[in-house]
Amino acid sequence: MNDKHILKVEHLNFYYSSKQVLFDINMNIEKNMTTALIGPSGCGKTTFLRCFNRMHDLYKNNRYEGKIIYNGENILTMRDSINLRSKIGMVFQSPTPFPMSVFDNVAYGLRLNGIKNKAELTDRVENALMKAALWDEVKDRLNTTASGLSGGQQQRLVIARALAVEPDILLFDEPTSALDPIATAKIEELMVELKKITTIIVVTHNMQQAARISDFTAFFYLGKLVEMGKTDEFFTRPKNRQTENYISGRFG
Amino acid sequence: MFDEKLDNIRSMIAKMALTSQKMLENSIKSIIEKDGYTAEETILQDREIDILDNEIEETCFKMLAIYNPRAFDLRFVISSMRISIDLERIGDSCVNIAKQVKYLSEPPKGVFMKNIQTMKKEAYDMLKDSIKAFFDNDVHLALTTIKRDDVIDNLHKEFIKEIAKDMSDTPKKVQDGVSLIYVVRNIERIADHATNICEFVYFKQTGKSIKHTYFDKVKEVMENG
Ligand SMILES: Nc1ncnc2c1ncn2[C@@H]1O[C@H](COP(=O)(O)OP(=O)(O)O)[C@@H](O)[C@H]1O
Ligand SMILES: [Mg+2]
Repeated sequence: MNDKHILKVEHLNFYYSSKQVLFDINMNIEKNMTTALIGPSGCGKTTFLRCFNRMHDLYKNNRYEGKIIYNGENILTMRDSINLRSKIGMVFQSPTPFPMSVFDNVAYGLRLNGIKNKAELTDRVENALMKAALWDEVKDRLNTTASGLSGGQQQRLVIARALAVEPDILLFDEPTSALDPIATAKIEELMVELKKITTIIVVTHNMQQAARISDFTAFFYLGKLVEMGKTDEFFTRPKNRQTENYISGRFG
Repeated sequence: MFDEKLDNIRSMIAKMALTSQKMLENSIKSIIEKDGYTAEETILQDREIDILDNEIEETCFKMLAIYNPRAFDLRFVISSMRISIDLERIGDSCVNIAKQVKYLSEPPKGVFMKNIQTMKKEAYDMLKDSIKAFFDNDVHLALTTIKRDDVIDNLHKEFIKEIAKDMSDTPKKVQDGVSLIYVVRNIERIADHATNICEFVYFKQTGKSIKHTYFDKVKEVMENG
């Protein structure tokens, strides 16, 4: 494995019970880069993203085949999924703050990881809020409930919560589809900034967004990876005819 | 909607190309026959080209802003914008040629007339083929046409020498000589624009640029794909 590849997906298949949804996916994810996953809805992007931190484990009949290698280990057979989820965090489509204060939201993952020292918690919460570009907006209301924040602020709060545990990788599933253009621009800026400290995989149905924020783009269709390439080449000279049709808006 | 606009661009490029070819024919005819009327006509035709150029630019500009075309569509729009600029310049060159009619004391004769016609034919064929390559998505034709630019360059050099010699032999012919140099210089330029068009065809088809590469490189591209 090339050491610039933080994740290596090998012959990944995924089944919801008997229904196969992902077919023989092979893909390398580069460290400190952003990889965007695009494709028509239902093609398996979310399913694929959720394999990386084993979110499918919640249901018994879900089944993986193949490997996702991370730090020399196969994610799909790891025992400790709590630790895995602090190393590989997830940010969902609609902001999902917990019904607690701003501070407690960010501290949540830290406490889950056994950090109890008040000073350390305060430090790390502040730090995470700064990295998420939210500190200035919430520093005077850390103890108010998170549901009072705007949609864009809530999404950055969720990002701060994920950042607090210092993840290697952040997974984003359509992180801005519930946000207005200004809040979207802020999240995009933040994502570009976050690349310095994490690796990002983002599902987006917005191709402009993929083009703006990602270094690599992967196109999925019917559960298969059709083409993956450097984003600037991907959108200007894709190699595959299906990719060409999809990104030109001439699908089907 | 988008596809309709692409067709629209295609037909404007076709019109521009036809007009520029006609202008090239007419401008040379006006010189060979020292025909002021045809020269006038050429100069008027340039107006059509300018209008089309503006329209293409405007249409492409809007398409980029509104539809955010990608992949081949993006390359098509970009290359159309660039090709339209080259066709517009070809129109300008034809006007430059036609304007020389009034400075000529007599129509060019003998070998001079023949040379002008030879150069014009080469430039005309290159222009025609560059446009054909554009419409047929023909990379090979684009590359072979680029190679032909050397032929024109050589004809141009040789011809200038002959005109210069004639001028030094017969001082009375200096004014005519200067005009003819101007004419052949503009024909040579038209061939350069045809070459540019071929380069944009190559870009449109492959997404890669061969601008400002030289003959050896073109040969390499042709041989190795
Ligand atoms: N929990 C589930 N059980 C069964 N099938 C599912 C489940 N979730 C998603 N699917 C199916 O899997 C396919 C991929 O879905 P998904 O990964 O959500 O696609 P995308 O994110 O690209 O829109 C779809 O056909 C969808 O209907
Ligand atoms: Mg999805």
